[in-house]
Amino acid sequence: MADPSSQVLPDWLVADDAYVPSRDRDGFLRRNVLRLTGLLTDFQVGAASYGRAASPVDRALGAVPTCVRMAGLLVCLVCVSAASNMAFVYLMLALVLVAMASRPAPAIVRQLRPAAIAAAVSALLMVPAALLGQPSAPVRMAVRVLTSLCLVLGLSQNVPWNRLVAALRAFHLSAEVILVMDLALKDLQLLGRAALELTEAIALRSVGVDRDRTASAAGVMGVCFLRMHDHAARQSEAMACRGFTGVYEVPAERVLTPSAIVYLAGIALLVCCFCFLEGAM
Amino acid sequence: MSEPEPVVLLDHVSFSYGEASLALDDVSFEVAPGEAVALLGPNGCGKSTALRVLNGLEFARSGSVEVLGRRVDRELMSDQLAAKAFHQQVGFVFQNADTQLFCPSVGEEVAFGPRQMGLSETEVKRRVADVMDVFDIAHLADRAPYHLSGGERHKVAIACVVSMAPRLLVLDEPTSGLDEESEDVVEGFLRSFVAAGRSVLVTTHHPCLVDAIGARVVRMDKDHRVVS
Repeated sequence: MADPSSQVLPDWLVADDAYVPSRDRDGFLRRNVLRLTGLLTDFQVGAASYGRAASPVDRALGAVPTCVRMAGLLVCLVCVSAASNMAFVYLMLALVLVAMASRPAPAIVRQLRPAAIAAAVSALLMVPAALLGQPSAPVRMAVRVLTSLCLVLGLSQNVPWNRLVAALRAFHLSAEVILVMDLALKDLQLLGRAALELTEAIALRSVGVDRDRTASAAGVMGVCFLRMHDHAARQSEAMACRGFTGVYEVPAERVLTPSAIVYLAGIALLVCCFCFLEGAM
Repeated sequence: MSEPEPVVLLDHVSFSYGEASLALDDVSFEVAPGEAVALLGPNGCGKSTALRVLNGLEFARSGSVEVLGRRVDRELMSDQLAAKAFHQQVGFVFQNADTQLFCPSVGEEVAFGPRQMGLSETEVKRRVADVMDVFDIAHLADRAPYHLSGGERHKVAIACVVSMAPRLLVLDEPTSGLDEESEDVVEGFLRSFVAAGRSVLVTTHHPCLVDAIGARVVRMDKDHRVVS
């Protein structure tokens, strides 16, 4: 080894030769794999914006206990799915779009894009029904899917996963199930981050033609597996060191706050609308 | 006489993760050819983000980023050949060495870049041997990178990038986790690299690294701005 204080660098390292890269079919890695691994890290999107919501609607909804919002969402989804009168579905869609319009543009795109794609796919699937004499079926299905997904994404993208999971405690889910879900979601996010970083590193070092693409992909998967395996072992040891006895306490949220009462009144109004439009009132 | 064009030029760059999480606020600095610059600042001030932005892993929301005379933007990164040439000339070493090692052995890891460049196997072997000698990791050639210590992995990660002969080295905390001897090796290499007319941009919390490589300090504060 050279003297560390004054190293003589190899001639190729200081030469001024211009490298001209060759084209390679690595578009799949650069675009799709990076995007897919990035999806796993999206678990933290809700966490990043939580408490700092940019829209007044999200700020107001943020004050409502998560378990109440989940219950309200469930009621809305049931009503949207069960409504035979499309007026109610259009009313819900209008409310969802008004709430969405108050959000910043990137948040709207994040919420609307997957919902619109799913709506388009569902409309496509209903084309045979249209051909068999139900001309409005594709539109009805697409509107229902769009409304339902916008409702679900509106909650999931603005509330961190750990709060959503903790809110399940209000539905009498056992604390152990909540612990397992918490750990699984956290590990998925970590796995996504690890895979994303590795894929980025490969992309940065893929400066020419990769003669063995399978080996690189296998390397990423292998390292991710090893990292998650080590992580699980270390986490288990750390929990034992911190005196974990298998009992996991999830503090219950206070449910009946003033904001929750206002929110529930709004949901009750929607249910009344649903019943009225369905002719039950 | 006109001044040489800077190797790195960040001009009033702002960037945020999502809508609310500001990471860089109107950041401007430059790195001249043959210069070492150290980006200092508290945790979370945006140092690593600045390195990601100038490597084209993130794109500035406003302001402009130029590296080696090329504007780093979506257009550059979507041009496959231009992006590859860019990444060959700008060697980026991540803060966590785990995130960039994926080959079954250290030897193959170091050879990955030169092989990608289409060099002959003789040249690849020469580069691997030279770089391993520089970083004192020849004895690790057959070991699996995953099973190395943190410091060894860090040296391997730097060696992997150096084997592609970049003109600019961008290192995110290059001496974190290194023992004293390994620190000397890395610092000695960076000094020689700069003396050879290449440029180095590092982020660090270690003032001794700044002194050891004679780096000019660019300091960021917790408000994600450059203060000096």
